Amino acid sequence: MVLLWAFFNDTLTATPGLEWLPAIRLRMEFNSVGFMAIFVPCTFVLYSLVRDTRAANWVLLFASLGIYATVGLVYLLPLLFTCLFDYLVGAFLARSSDSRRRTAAFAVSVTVQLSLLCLFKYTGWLTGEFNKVAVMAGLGVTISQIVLPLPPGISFYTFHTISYTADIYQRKFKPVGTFVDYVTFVGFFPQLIAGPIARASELLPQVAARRPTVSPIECERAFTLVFWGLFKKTCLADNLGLIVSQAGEAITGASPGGVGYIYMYAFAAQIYCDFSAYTDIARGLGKLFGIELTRNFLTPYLAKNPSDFWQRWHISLSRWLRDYLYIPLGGDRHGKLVTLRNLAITMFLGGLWHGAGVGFIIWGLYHGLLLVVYRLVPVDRILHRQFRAAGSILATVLMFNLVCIGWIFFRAAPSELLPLFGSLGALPDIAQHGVLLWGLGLFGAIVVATELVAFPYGVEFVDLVDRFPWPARAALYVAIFYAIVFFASRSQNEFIYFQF
Amino acid sequence: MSSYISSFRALFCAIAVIAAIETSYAAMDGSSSVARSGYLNWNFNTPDLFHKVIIYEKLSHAVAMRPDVIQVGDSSGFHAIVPSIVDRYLGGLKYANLSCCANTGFTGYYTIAEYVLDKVSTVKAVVLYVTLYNFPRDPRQVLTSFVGGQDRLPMAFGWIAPFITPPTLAARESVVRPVYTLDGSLDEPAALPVETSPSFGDLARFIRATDGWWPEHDTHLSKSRQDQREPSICALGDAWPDDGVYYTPDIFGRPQSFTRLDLSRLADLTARHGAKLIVLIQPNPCPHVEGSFLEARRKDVAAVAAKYENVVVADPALFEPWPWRNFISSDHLRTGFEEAASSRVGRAVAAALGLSMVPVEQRTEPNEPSSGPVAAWSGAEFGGTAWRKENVTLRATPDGTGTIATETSGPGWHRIEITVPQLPAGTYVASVVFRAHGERQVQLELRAMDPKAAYGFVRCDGAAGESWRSIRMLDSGIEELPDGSFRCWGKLDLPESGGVFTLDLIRNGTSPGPYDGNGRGAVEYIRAELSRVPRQAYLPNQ
Repeated sequence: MVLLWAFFNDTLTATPGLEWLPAIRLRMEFNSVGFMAIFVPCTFVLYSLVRDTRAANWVLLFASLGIYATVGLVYLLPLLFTCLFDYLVGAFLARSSDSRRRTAAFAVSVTVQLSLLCLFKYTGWLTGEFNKVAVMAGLGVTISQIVLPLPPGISFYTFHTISYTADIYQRKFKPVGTFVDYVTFVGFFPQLIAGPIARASELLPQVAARRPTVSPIECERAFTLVFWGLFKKTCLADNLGLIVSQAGEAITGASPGGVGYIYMYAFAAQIYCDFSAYTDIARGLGKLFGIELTRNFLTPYLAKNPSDFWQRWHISLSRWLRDYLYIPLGGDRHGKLVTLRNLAITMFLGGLWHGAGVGFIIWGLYHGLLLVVYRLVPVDRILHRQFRAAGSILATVLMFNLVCIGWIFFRAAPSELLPLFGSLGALPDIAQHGVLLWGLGLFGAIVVATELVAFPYGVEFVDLVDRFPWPARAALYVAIFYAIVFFASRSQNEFIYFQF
Repeated sequence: MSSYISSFRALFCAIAVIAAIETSYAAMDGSSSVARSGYLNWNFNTPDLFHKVIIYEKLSHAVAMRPDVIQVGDSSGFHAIVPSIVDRYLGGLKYANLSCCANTGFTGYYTIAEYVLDKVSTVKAVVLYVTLYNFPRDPRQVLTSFVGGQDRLPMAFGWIAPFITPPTLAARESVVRPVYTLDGSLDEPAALPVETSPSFGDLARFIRATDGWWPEHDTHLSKSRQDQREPSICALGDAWPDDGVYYTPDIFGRPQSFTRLDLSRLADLTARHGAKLIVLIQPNPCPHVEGSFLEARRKDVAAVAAKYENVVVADPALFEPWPWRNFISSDHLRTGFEEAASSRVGRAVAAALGLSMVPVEQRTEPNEPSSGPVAAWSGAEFGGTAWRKENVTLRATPDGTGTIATETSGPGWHRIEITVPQLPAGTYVASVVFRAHGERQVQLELRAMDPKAAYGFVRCDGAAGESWRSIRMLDSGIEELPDGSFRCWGKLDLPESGGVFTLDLIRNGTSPGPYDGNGRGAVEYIRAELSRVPRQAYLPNQ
């Protein structure tokens, strides 16, 4: 009832006689009150009531589509089309033994899905760029810029469904469950908008199976992930985001020297906290419903080389790109030159996947270049050979700074690039930018400290909490609660990866 | 079972500790429920929105003053309705103006009313005061996201607030201040700004002192410019259709008028609290509002009034035409017409509440009150030693009727300034008669000896025939004189004796402030005066 009230609030309260119903705004954002205080508890209660019946996935499906529809009812169309189309293709691929027809069906599926993604994501940008080039070249021909609203999460669910058909096509996976299970796998609300990008072979069997009651340990673990994620998003990412914005403004101010450092380090910390917070919350929510989502981060800024970084950053995307792009391109099986080409192509497309913009493409190419350079000159190994432990630390520091430089391409507008890189020639002026430096130190120190604590254990900080004795866990929960009360940015901000 | 529950002991322990802290804090803390709302952000190095701070101050004040009648609505009522004038009609009842801005939307008006009705049991009536342009419509058409009309206001002050705002949220400011400012060693406004305007504290005190009113900060025009502009006030179109944005589908897909829905909610809310809902629409200068839109709204309002006994529609026609000259735009009255607008509200509230005490109306015209000058300078006196000059050269005109101030080359303010230490505390009109030479105009400044006590400025652009004032200036104006010169004036309350009067050169069409002088830009000052004027009765004692 509460879910119905929340989903149909606008029309219910518009109905004569029901004006008295309290107005409520449900949003897809994890850091919104409606989502956490109403949607999740209600869905959990409803799910728990029918957990061991076939209705369990109907509840998850209804809740997932319902909360997704709060972004816009119309966005359900591409999502449901994608689900239906690939479900049918998957069924065909599983049954058919005609390799030519199977190949054709798979090709059609990938083409349709990528076309849909391109239509929504890149058409506006491409037509705009075409017009710019046409004007610069004096062609005298322009075309109407087509700007379609981007369905949230389309980049993620397109990759979900491609992995489904690809795995069936390669006979790595057999379809399981019903259509309802399949749509629940694609549209499962914790991972619908920003991943982790689930592999059908890992997630669909979990969705299709009857899931046991969540144990108290898993329940507390779910709570820890959600709570820690909210802390990282509201107290760290959003506050660091303010510093990034203000550094971006200061770059055009009277004393821009060194501001680029504040900008790139603050953004490096912001995007990590923001995206890993989303993943933590998604994983926590998944656990509540008995579904284990893959991890996406593993102390990424302590990587020693680009390859190591991509095994720690956005792990689910890296794996997807490796398995469905890099390896099909030939991987490292056809000599060094082809390997380097494949790395560059993979990272270029990885950059383009993030969004329609020159910055993302440069960022992808930049990471491709790093991978190529480190393949040719293994800087980290050289440093380690030369200086042992100090060399490893040096390699980590170097890699971290190389990653941070890449974030400038990712975040800044093209017009900001020159001033930002220009400002790196000096150190920040404490008198001018003391407040921003203090903010960066204050919020950034927590990121650094938790990374360093977790790194030796090969996990993220939140994974260590289970190992604390219960009084320490209780103290941590109290501390996080008051950190959120006092230091959470109260301007509610979307997760950065929502735009992709 | 016990082992199952004990598995959650870390969580239960944390919840118990938090509950104990919150309960103890709620018992000991004396801060208001408004402070506990968390409506103000207190974010790191980021100013809060001006409108939010206004709402915060108004609600804080309303809870403390315990009014009998409250007004909610858009900015037309914020600037036009003076509670102390309305009070004259209410036989001892107290009126509070809680109107802020259209971008709170009707959800915002509702939440503000709901909050005060919940906290102040003495409220007998809620006045909904909006313009015709702000009748309820599709929330997507109203930019409420900044102020949080759709979500932030309800979450801070609405029904859900007690469930999501822990009492310790009231301590947020005192906790973050030492952390964000590094215990005061960092520049505080930068580390923890609430509102970047230096005059904000002043404005907040003013709003509290007037029970929620703030004078219109309108641009005033010279008569010839006003004559040109008046027709454009209503140049919105010939007809105003009753289109789809005023309707929303109900659960059966039937279109329902937002006006009926939102008014019904307000009516229901006020009825639950035993209060009346008085609907009053700001007068309007534009005949084109007559048409299908207004007809539909009349029906909506009448339907709600018929359904709810506690609803009073002060003017069922919803359209009271007032002359163009009373307005700065089709929805905002010019400064000086607040007396008439407030009296209209006073009469309506008195009638709705059945109060018999209706005073003789005291109308004031929107003209600057006249009295003899306390201090005056003219002709060559601007070049005397009393006036300090900064980056200007001064020379008397050949006929001796004025002084030409010519900017020097180089950066900085280009100004003259005089200190008048013997000026008694009071309300003053500072004026200057000037003649623009080329591309330079005048900014007039008046301040107390301590600028924090009172400071205001008026920018006078003779070329555009406009005067524009800072928020502390109570009023301003510009008049074109027969000889082609302009008289520019501004009215300011000086709370303590002594004042400083400054005349700055400013450039046409650019932001005022220090600039690179070219050695040629000039203005001729003919006469300047400081005149003490009678205080308008509704101005607060600050």
